[in-house]
Amino acid sequence: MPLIRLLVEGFTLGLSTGPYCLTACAPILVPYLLAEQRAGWRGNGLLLAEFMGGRLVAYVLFGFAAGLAGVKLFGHFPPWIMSAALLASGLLMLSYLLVKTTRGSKLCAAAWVSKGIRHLPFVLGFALGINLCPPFVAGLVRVLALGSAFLGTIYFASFFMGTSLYLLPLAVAAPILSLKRLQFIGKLSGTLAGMWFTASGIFGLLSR
Amino acid sequence: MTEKDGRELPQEHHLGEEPIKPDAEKKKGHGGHFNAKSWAASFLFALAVVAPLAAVQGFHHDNVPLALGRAVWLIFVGTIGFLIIHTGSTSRWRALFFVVMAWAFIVHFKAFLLGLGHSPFFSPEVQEVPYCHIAMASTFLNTLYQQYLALQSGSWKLWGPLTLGFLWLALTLAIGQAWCSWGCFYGGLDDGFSRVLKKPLWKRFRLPPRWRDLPAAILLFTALASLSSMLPVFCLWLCPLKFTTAFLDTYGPTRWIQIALFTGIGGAALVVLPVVLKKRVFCGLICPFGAWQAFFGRMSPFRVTINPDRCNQCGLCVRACPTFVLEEDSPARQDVSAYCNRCGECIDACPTGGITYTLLGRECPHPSGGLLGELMEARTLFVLCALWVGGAVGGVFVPETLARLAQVLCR
Repeated sequence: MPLIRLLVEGFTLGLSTGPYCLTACAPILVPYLLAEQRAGWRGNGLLLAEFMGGRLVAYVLFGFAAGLAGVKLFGHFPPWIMSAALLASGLLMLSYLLVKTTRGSKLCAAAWVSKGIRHLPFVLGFALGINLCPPFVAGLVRVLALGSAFLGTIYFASFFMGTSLYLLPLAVAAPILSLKRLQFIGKLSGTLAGMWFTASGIFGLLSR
Repeated sequence: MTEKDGRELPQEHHLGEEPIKPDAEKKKGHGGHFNAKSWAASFLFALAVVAPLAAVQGFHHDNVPLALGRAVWLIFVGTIGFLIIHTGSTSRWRALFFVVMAWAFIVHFKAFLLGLGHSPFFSPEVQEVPYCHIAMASTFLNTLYQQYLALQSGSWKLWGPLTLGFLWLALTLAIGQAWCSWGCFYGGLDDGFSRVLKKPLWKRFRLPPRWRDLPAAILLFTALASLSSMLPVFCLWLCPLKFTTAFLDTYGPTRWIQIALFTGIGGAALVVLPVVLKKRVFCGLICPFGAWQAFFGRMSPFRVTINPDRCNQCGLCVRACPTFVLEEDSPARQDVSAYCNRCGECIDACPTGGITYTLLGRECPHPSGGLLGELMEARTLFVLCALWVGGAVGGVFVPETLARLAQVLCR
């Protein structure tokens, strides 16, 4: 199969199903951007770039693993991964808000905490990236059939490019919404979203 | 009684008690009328309220109980309008109207669940939950997404019916955020419970001002989570009204958690806290539609405005406000936030007429004087629009409820 055709196919799948990816990420990403309240497009752009970097790594790893495993893996994909990813996303968001609201405490002073907070968008992007939404599964099935780690990586990288276009407006909107009042709203809705994702993850794991 | 800075505070006043009798001259400034002429003006106003509602509802000779129910409802709405204009007190009569409407809705709703009738509040698209205005706000992004799918597929049948958009736009242009105190068929529940006691049990409670944005956070979360899960998250997990619906089965732990949440939120925010604080806790701190209307409600020209020349900053309005809108320093800043429901509680409580209904912050001039001038005040126009909206909404279910109750009683 020509490489260019594979690239276009992955990109088109991402483009056509991107809104779904936006809806999967938005409950965590939007409150996070509001709570963070970075000034200007550059600051918010960097946050979003880190977040998308995390998603890209998740996508590429999946593409690589699926392509490597080929059709043998089909039907044996660990079903708990999505629930675990939801749980991780929820706990990360709750931890971030806990640290943010207790700023100045001993907990926040710890180096590993500040380092973790700095890289939170990347980790959140990774955790939400392995959310097995229907478009993601469609891409996965395609890559399993390809049976090549290289082609799988290429396919998912282009799939990522297509879906990412829908996330870009968030970086544009975030600085416009730079208000102290919205920061608190972001924290509150982020807490609710964190609890929601955590509960969904726990229920998902328990129902296995 | 003095404050820390030594400023004299007026005598303690509590909601539900007879308001401090205002000076007639000052009170007249915000629409109170105590002269003989107001009988004619009040009657004319009541007619103006009832006539369009009667025209919209029409009369059905084939169903006598329903026709009687409609007549009773129209007389009730007209009487409320008459009393608001005649007594100069807004919120007391509004609350009566509002509470009656809410409980009539509950009876209507329960009757539907028992199979005793049909309801316009159920939608085949959203199973098990009534598609009300709160659901509309918290699933708005889903509706937008469906429109996106409609654009892609060309299935234009998906457009429109789900949105209730035109109805919402009309009522928002007319009364904006006032929907939450004049038209919402849930709001009368916590309004009613907040009036059970004469004094709040927890008098010193002060809500940190920024927590007033909690409904906005709930709206943001439920909108995004509903879009993410393609389910009406507020309706399925947070709406206390679901306690009375088909959710009363016990299928598994998820359903138990849902029931616990419905019961907990309903019990706390609709009953216990309103009684304890004398505040409308559900409307003020939870309802996502309140936040939605606070944003879009600015489209309506009606406002509640503090007049710095008349305000003596006594703070009675802050204590009277049932939805946490007025903060301690609001009178000094002449600031009434967008969350204001236009319930009229602060206007009734103000002893100097320092708070008024206005049109975009201006009191309506009435150069002609006389009967027409009396009716052309901002307050009168606002109450007219609010009773039209509330009367029309209540007209959908209150007459049927009355007819059903009459049939049950006559058996």
